[in-house]
Amino acid sequence: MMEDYDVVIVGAGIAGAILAKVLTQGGRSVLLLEAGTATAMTWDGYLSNLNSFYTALAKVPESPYPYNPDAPQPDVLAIGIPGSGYFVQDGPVAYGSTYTRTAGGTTLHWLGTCLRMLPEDFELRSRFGVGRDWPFAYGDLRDDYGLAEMEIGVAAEVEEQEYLGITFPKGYVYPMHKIPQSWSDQVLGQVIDGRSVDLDGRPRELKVRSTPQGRNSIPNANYRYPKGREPRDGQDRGYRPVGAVDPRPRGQDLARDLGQRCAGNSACVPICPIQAKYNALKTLVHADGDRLTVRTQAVASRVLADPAGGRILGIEYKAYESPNSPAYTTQVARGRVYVLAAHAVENAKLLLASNLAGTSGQLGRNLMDHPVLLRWGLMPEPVGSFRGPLSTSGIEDLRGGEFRAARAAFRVEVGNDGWTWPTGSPESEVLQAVGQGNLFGSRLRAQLRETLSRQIRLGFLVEQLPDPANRVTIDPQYRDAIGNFRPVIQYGLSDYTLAGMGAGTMLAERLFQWLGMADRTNAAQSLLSQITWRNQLFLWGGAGHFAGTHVMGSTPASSVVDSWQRCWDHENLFAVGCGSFPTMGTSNPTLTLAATTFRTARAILKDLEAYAPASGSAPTGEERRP
Amino acid sequence: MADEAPDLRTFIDLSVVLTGFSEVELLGTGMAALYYGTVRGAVGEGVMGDLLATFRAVSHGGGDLETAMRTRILGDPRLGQVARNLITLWYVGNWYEMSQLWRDAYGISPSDVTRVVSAESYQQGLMWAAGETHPQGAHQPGFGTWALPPARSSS
Repeated sequence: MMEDYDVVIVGAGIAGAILAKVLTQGGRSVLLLEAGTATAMTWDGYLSNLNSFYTALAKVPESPYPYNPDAPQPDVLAIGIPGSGYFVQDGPVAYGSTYTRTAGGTTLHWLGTCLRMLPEDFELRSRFGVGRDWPFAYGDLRDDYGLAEMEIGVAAEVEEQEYLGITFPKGYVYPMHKIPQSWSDQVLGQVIDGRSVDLDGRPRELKVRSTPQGRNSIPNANYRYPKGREPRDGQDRGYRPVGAVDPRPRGQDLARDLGQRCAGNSACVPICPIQAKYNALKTLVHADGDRLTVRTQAVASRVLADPAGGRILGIEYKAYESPNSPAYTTQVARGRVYVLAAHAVENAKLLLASNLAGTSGQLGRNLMDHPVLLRWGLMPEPVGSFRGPLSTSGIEDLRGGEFRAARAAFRVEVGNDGWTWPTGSPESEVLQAVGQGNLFGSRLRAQLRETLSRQIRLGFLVEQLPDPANRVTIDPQYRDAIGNFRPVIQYGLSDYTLAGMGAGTMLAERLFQWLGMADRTNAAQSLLSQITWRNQLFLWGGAGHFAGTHVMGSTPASSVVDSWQRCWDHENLFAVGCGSFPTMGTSNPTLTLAATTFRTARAILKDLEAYAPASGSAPTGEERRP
Repeated sequence: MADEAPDLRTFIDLSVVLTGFSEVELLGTGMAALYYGTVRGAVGEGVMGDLLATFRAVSHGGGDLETAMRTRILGDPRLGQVARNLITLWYVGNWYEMSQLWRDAYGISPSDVTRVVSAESYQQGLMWAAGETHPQGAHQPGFGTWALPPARSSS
């Protein structure tokens, strides 16, 4: 059989980009199939995304990235509206998160939070008797976390990130110094830092802690690149931030000249106007262009396997010429190793559509998110809301402990964007003041001046355990414009998670009292999802942290992929990304996703040692070589 | 269209009263002429003409301006909603479709569609200045500025 490439990867998001970079730099030819368009890959295309954001009425995470019927994506505005949107929501609760299908993936509108998982997060079953264990420990992933922090360009200080068992190698520093904490973080910290709450029968001290973030800050001169990962100048000392990217030769200058520091645009989600925040295109542009073929507008529709033995023979994909037309041609991509890096939902959907990887019965199951309990209020004095990256601090001290046997842990994200998320402020405040407040002129202006700068929002990211009943399935009656399956989602929040929301609610009430903050949490002014538990109404939204659909484990009977993210049923097929997470703890998952991807890249390079490099010759069609 | 100039002049004077921003601040946005056309297109020349004529009478009539504004413009069934929409247009940069009751009573224009008027109108929304900040995604204030106290902080 003709093998055109060493590796065929489905999905040009962060996992696909890291693999494309590491594998091509390792001398291997890669074909990267991307379902969506390549708009953001060029700087002028990226600016068109920015313009779409400016002119979008609802500035939801997807707003800069136009809907594409040939590679549809979920939409925040459709959540909870039966019969609308890409997801077929089968309940009992509507899954509250979205992702984006275009080159660069959801990193185009991620927040950039780069917390490591706690060591105990990898051992939930053995330590607390709930959830699942990971097939490896924190210590096994620690160096890969370092690679992920290098690749993303994480800004933080080690001394602030050593808590609840998180350790770093001796002498390690983050690539960049921490992003300055916002003034409102500092005001909250003055009140909260050093105070304690009871946890597991003992006082647990709280701190408004700087969040590690994938956005450019002041490079740490003491940073040392890992061996073999030095930038092109060969110098291993001192981190070199990567700014905005464009694959054209002159475009490379942008990385040096634009987006070298976060400039406080306060729009990390949906779009950083200067690419000071990491996105996967920064990684992709550094792949070896001679060995990488990127084929966009190519939607993987089926994985083809040898019925005897299960080896993967190719990936069938539908190539469409225009998002405005359902016309497509069906083609097959062939390689030695295949990687699905298309997103937790898309990976599961593709394997289900191919009737593969089914031995454990876990495929598509254990879907998780971080349901985010939102609480918002008005500080007694102006704190400078609506300034800076959307979040620069969190309260992380309650992420771990023995209580996890009984209820979910959470972290607290401290927002810098007022009530934008829960209420659509400041627009909603204007409409309210004019429409119901009947204010105009200088009194209107004074009212907004008085209130907007005092708005604070806290988000409690609550852990969700892997539950086989929370799942992605497919149904022949639900298909998109070019005949691919739409995901059918069954989803609910367990008592374990709801009890975590309850604990979050009680903490919120306490923090508001300490701060003298008027609680303005109000269902009537919010489009958030609602759920009532023990007579308490929770207002919550999704975090965008899809996980668990092709769970990783130590036996083929209980998991879909092994510890290297290789499908137990198919030796030359890997399914990577958050879909492999057995549990997600309380950390935003992208950093851990990136770390596990570096781990998988090593396994693939090792697999390929038996082979001479394939030609990587490109068949006809639209090609892009970053 | 030279005869637009006096009306645009009145439109700006009206906008100053409705928004609480000075003429210099409003002209500084560069949006006045576009917004004049936006409102006129959405509600028609007749309503626009009456709004401006009424405002001329109000502003030259002496007496308490706020009372006169509320009585003759903001409380007027035909002009009030237009004036409120003009406020939100300046503050947000969006035109919001007139209510169905208003459209039933005073007519429907194909330009009366809820929308962000332009990429620039979003960035020039007065709500950001009112909140003493910058539009999300534009007019970047620079690295680390968010760590400083806001102008009026007592801390």
